[in-house]
Amino acid sequence: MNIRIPWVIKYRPKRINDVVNQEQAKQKIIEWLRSWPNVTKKALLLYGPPGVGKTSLVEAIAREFNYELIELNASDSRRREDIERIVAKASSARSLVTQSTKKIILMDEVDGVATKEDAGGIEAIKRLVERTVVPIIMTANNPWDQKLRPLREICEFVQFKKLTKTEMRTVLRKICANEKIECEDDVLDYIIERSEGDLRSAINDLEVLYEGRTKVTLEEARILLRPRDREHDPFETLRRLFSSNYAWQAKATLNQSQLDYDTLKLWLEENIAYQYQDLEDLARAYDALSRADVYLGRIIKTGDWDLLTYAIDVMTAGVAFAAKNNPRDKYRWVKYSFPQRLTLLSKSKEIRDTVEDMLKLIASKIHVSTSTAMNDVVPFLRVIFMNNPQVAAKIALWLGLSERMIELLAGSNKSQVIEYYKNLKKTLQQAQSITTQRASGKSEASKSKNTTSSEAGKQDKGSKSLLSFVKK
Amino acid sequence: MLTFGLSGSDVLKQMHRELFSADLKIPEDIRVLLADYIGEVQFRLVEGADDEIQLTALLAKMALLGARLSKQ
Repeated sequence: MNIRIPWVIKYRPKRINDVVNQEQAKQKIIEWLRSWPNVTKKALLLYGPPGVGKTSLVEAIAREFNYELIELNASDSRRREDIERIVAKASSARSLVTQSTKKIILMDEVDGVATKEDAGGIEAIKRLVERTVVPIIMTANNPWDQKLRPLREICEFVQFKKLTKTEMRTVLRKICANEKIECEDDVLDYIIERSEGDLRSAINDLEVLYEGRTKVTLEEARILLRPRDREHDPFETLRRLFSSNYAWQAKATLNQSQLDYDTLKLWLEENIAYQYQDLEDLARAYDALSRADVYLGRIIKTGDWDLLTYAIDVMTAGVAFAAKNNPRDKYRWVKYSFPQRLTLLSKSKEIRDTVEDMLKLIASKIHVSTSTAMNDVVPFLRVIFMNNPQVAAKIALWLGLSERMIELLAGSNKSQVIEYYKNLKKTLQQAQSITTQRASGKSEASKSKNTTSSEAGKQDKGSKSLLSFVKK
Repeated sequence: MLTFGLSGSDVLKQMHRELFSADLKIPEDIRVLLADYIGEVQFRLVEGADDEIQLTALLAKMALLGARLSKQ
C-alpha cells in the first residue's frame, strides 16, 4: 500500500520546533546564521552524543530559513580534492530546487575523517573555513579528538545535551500513537534505558520490536534487542572505570570508549588525583598506572604485543580497585579535566615551531647545527636582545628573523627592538631604491655603476654602513 | 607442560584468561595483582628467561597469596 520508510527518517524533525530540547543550541545557531558573515568564527562545530538531533536540527533550520544545504557526510570520501570540489560547488552553482542563493555547508561527523584514507582532509577543511563565503556547520561526537585539534581554534562550539528520559518518552509515545501500537511501559522504559539518551537508536529499537507486531512483552524485548557496544566519551569512560565493581567491568570500559589505551593513560594520570583522596589509595592507583606504563614501554622495546593485555588490566582494573582505604571515593562525583599534558603541548606548539624555524635560520647563516645554535648562540642573542635593542635590530635583520621570533628573544624589550628593526628596514629599502634609481639613470649615460655608488649621497652613506654590517 | 607440549607463555595466557572469568571466586584486587604477576613473568619469558623457573616462582607467589586469603 504505502512505501516502507524507516521510522527514523519518517519521524525525522521537519521543523525547528520538532527537535526536542536543545533550546540553547537552537538559539545559538540561528543567531550565528543571522549575523553571518559578521561573526568572529566562520564555522560552527556542533558536538554531543549520537542521536540527539545535531544533523536534524541543521536540516530543519535550512528548511525553515530557506537555505540550500550542501552535505558532506561520513559515507563520502573526504580527501583534500573532495573538499575542494565542494567549495567550488558552493561558491558557484545556483540551486535548481530552492531558488535560493543562500547556502550552508554541512560537514557531518568530522571526527570520522580518517587520517589515512582521507589524507589532508582536516587541513582542507581548515583552509575552507578560513576563506569561505558560505556558513559552515560541522558535527562531531567527540570534539576533543586529537585529529580535530587544528579545527578547534577556528570553530565556534555548540554543545548538544543528552536527551532526558522524559523527553524521549514523549517522542516515543507520539510515534506509538501514530503507528497504532500499544507499547507497555516497562518495554518503553527498557528501550529508553538501553539507548542512553540516543533518540535515533531508541526509535530504531522501537521499530525492530513492533515491525509487524502490535504487542511485545519485556522478555521478548530483552531477547530481541541485544546489548550494544557504545562509544563513551572520555569523561563517561573515567566515571565508569572508577565506579566499576568487578575487574571485567573495569576492563570493558576501555573497549567501549573513544579513548585508546595511550590516551586513557594520560587521562588517568590527570584525573586519579581528583577521584581518590586517601594518600595510600592514591599511591596504589598511580603505582598501578606506572606498572601499566612499564608494560607499554616493554611492548615497544620487545615488540611483544601479548603484553598489552596486562598493561590494560593494571591500567583499568588496577586503578579501579586501588581505593582500599576509602572505597567510597570510587563513586564520588568529580569534575574530570582534560589532560594538562596535551593542552600544554598544543599550546606550546606554536612557540616550539617558531623556535625551530629560528634555529634553522641561525644555523644556516653561521654554519652550525641547530643544537649548537640553541645551546651556544641563542643564550647570547637573548642577552643582546634584552639589553641592546639597537644591535639586536641589526642582528635580527641580518638573520632575517620574523617579528614573532624577535618577540621570543627580546621578551619585555620587544617593542623597542621591533621599532628599530622597522626603521632599519625602511632606510635600507629607501637606500636600495635610490641606488637602483641612480644606477638605471647613470647606466644610460655612462654605463658605470661604480661611480654611482661612490657618488652616493649622505643618506645613502648611513645605510651603506648598515649594508656592510649586514654583509658581515 | 612436558606432557602437553605447551610453552611457558601458553600456560600464562590460559591462566590470564581464567583470571577474569566468573568461575574463579577471588577478590577483585587480587585478580589485578595476579594479572600483574603473570604479566611480569610473561615479560621475563620474552626476555629469554627459563620457563620452568619463572612459572615455579609464579606458582609459589600464588600459593602464598592463596594461603593469606584462606586465613582471612
